[in-house]
Amino acid sequence: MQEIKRKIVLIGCKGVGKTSLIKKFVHNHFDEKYLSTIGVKVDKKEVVIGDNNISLILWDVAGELLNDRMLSSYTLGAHAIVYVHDLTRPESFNTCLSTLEKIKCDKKIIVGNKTDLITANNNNFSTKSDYTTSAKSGEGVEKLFLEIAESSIN
Amino acid sequence: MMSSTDPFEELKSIILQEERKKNNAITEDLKNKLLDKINKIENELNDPNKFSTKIEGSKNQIIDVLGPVMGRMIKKYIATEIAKLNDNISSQTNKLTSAQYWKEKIFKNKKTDITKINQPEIEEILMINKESGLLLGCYINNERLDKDMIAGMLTAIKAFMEDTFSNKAQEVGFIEYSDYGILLHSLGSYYYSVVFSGRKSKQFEEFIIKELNTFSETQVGNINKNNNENFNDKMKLYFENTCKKLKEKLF
Repeated sequence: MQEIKRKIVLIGCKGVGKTSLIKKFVHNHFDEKYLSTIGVKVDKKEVVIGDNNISLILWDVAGELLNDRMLSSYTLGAHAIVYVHDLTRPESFNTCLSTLEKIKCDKKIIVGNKTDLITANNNNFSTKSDYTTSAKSGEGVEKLFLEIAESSIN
Repeated sequence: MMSSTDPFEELKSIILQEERKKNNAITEDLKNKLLDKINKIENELNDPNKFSTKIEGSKNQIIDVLGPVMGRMIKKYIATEIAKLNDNISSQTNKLTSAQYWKEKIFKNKKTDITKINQPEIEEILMINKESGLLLGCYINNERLDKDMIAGMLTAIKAFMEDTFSNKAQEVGFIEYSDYGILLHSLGSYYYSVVFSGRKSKQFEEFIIKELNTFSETQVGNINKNNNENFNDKMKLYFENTCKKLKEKLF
């Protein structure tokens, strides 16, 4: 079994569910309470793909730092950048493309989160998301991270 | 025939005889009076009751004059003594709160060598990619938290401090947390994080940096990016020897 390490950085506006996505993927847990992340939180999840044991080192960067000059330091050496936005808050997508443009990384992924809150009334927001997820129900969460892991070794 | 005495002297003794007698009498009288006075003062000074009564009587004046001077002296003395006491207490507390002191005291049940108390002890050495924060290799003495997460968080903290408080040319060299110190030493594309308990000193820092540099020069070419198990073994072997050397030294 080959040991591989990959750095994945989650960025996006405040309250879009970056921490919840990581918590769901790493601990299979969702908390209704909202706690704002301060600075950066690093988590880890090991996944097995073929003969590879991949350690995914997940960097959860606080929403406040989205436009900060420190963002470039935190994203250095990342194998994938995941931009998370809230499907029910169109403004959370506003800076997506301009932010991703500033970051140097071969793999940039846009994720629309909170599919569980989509109703007939607020379903008028369409974006080009690579993945749609719900940290609450777990929909698309595993698929998102496993596909990132898989693509990182190919 | 001329007398053997000087005529002038003889004349002087004849003429001033009366005055000289008076003068001698006055001198003698004055001398006695002065002696009486001196004896009296001397007796008063030697009498503790009388002297203390006089001081008691002029206590307020003495306090007015000496008070500010004495106050300054006392204040300075107390401040100096408190500073000394603080240093002493800190040094003793550091010794008594060190894990090594209690380990030896409780488990080994032998007389503690005071010179070894609070000596720095390496807990772990992590070799981390400077940019990604991914762990390249490690030597762990006591397994605690996940080392990959520690490596990531250390890199995040380092990046935060360097971006916020200094320019890119400067790097964070030391982080202190509770009883632990974390020494960060950068070399090229990676940096070492040495977590240690005990007191940090310049000699200890120099010793560790020398060991890390030597390790980098001789072993780092062996890193295999996709499998660092062998590299970890090399780190373990090398830094176990470093820990042995450290125990023989006193900082």
